[in-house]
Amino acid sequence: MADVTLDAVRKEYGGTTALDGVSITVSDGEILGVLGPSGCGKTTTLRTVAGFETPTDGTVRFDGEDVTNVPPENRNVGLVFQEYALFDNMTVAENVAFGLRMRGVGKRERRTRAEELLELLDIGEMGDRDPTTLSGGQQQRVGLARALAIEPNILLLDEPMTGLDAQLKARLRTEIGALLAELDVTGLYVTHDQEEAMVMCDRVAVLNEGRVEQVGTPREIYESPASEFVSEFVALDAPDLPFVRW
Amino acid sequence: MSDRHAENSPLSTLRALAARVVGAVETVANPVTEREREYRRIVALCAPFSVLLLVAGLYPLSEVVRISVSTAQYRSVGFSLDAYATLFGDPYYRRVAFDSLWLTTGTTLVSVGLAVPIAHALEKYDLPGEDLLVTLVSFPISLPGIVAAFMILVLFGNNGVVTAVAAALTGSRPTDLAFAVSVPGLFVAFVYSMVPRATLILRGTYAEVDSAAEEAAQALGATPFETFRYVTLPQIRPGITGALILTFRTGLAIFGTLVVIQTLVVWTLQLSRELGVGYDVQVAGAMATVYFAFTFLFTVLGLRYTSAEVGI
Repeated sequence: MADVTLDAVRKEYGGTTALDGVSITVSDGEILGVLGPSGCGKTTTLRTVAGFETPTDGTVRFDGEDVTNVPPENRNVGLVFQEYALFDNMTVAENVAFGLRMRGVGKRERRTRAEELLELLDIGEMGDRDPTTLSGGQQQRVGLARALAIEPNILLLDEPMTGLDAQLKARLRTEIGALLAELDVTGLYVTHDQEEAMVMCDRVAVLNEGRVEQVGTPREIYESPASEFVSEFVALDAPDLPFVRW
Repeated sequence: MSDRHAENSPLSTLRALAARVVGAVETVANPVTEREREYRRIVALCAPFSVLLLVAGLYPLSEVVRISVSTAQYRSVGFSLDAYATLFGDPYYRRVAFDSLWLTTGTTLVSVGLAVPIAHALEKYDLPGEDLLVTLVSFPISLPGIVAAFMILVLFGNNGVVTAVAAALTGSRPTDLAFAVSVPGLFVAFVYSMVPRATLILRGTYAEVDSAAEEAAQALGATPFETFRYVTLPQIRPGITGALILTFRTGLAIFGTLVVIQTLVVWTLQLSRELGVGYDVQVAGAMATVYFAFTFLFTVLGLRYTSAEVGI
C-alpha cells in the first residue's frame, strides 16, 4: 500500500471543468471517502488516480513518485466497480487470479491465492462458478477479491454498494468495512451516499462542482461543516448511524 | 374402435386443420380480446411482406427449381437430373465451385481481419473527424460492384494512378506492375466491397462490449493487447463469427465486380454466362438452386451451431 496524493489536479473536457484544483492525500492504510452529488467530479477523481484520465494540470503521486503520466497497467491499482465488471468468460477463481496472471505468477500459486481471498470474503466454495450465476452481493465480493489479489498500491471503489438492496448493503458495509480495516488497505471510496461514506471511511472529502469543499473525519464533517453546501449535503441524523467512525 | 380410427384418419386431420385455419381467419376478421386484436395487427403488418415473399420469392424460386429438372430447354416439362449431373460431374463446374469458395473464403477472412481493428478504433477511441471516417469506411456499401471494380482499374490498371507512380519509382513498365485485372486485383476489389459490411456488423458488437471490464483488466496490469485478447475478444467473438458468416454470404453473391474483372470464373459469373451466352437454362437453374441451397443452409447452420449474434 502507498500514500496517494493528488496535487492541484485540474481536468477539463472541452469547455467543461470536471476537476478544479483538487488536492487530497490518502495516507497509507487509510480509507478516504470521496463524497458528493452527481457530476461533482468523484468518478473523474477516481479515474485520474487509476490512470484512465490524464489531468489537464496538476500531479498524481504514489509514495511521492510522480505517476501522472504512468499508464493504468503500470500503476498497480485495484478497481471495484458499481456494475461489478467481472470477466464473464472466466470462472470466479480465474477472475480473482487475473491480475496475478498478468504478473506472470504460476498457475498453482494463482489458484491458492484466489482460494485464500475467496475464503476471506466468505465465498470460498464458488471458485469454479460462472460469475454471472452469482447474486449481486456475491459478484461484488468477487470484484473486491480480484482487486485485492494484486496487493494494490491503492484500492479504488466506485460506488460499490449502489444497486444492492438496503439489507444487503447494510450487511456488506459492515463486513467489507471491517475487512478493509483488518487488511490495512489504502482506499479511495467514491460514493454519493453520505451514510455509506460516514460508516466506511476514515476520512471524507466532500466534492462540489469539481472542488474539494472539506476534508475531514466523519465527525469533523458532521460537527463542523466547512460550508453551507457541506452542511446541507451531510445533513444526517447521527443517532441513526451507530457504526459511524467517530 | 372404428370411431377412434375415423378420428385419426388423414381426412379428419385435414378437417381439423381446415377448421383451425377458418377459426384463425375468423379471429383475425372479428377480434374480441386484446390478444386477438394484437394478432390482427401482426397479420396486417406482415401481410405486405408475406405477399412479396410469395410472389417475388417462393414462386420464382420454385420455378427455378422446376426449370433445373425440366427435360425441355424453354418449357417446364418432364423430370431430369441431367443438369445436376453436369454440375457435379463436369470438372469445369467443380473448378468454378472451388474458385468461388477459395476466393470468398480468403476475402472474407481478410475483410473481417481488417474490420476488427477498424471497428475497434471507431468504437473505442474518440477519433478526430470520426463522422468522416465512418462515411469513408461505409462508402463502398453504396457503390455497385461494377463501380468498385472500375475504381480498382483506375488505381491499379495499366493506366492506373498507383501503377503509374510505382512504375515511375521503380523504372518498370506499367504493364508489368498493373494487377487490376489479375486475381490479386479481383481479391482487392472483393475485399473493398466486403470490409464495410463486416465493419458494420462488428461495430454493433463493439457497442455492447463491457468497457468497465476492460478498464478492470487494465488496472489489474493487462496491457492494451492483453486486455483485447483476454477481455474484449471473448466478448466480440460472437460478432466476429456472425461477421464471417454474413460477409462470406455477401462474397458469394458478388457479381458486378466480376463483370469488369473477369479474371476468375466464379459461380455467379458462370451462372450469368449460362443464361446469357450458353443458353443452358437447365444448368443455370441447377446452379441457382445449388447456390440458394448452399447459402441458405450455410447461414442457418452457421448461425445455429455457432455463438454468432446476428440475424439471418
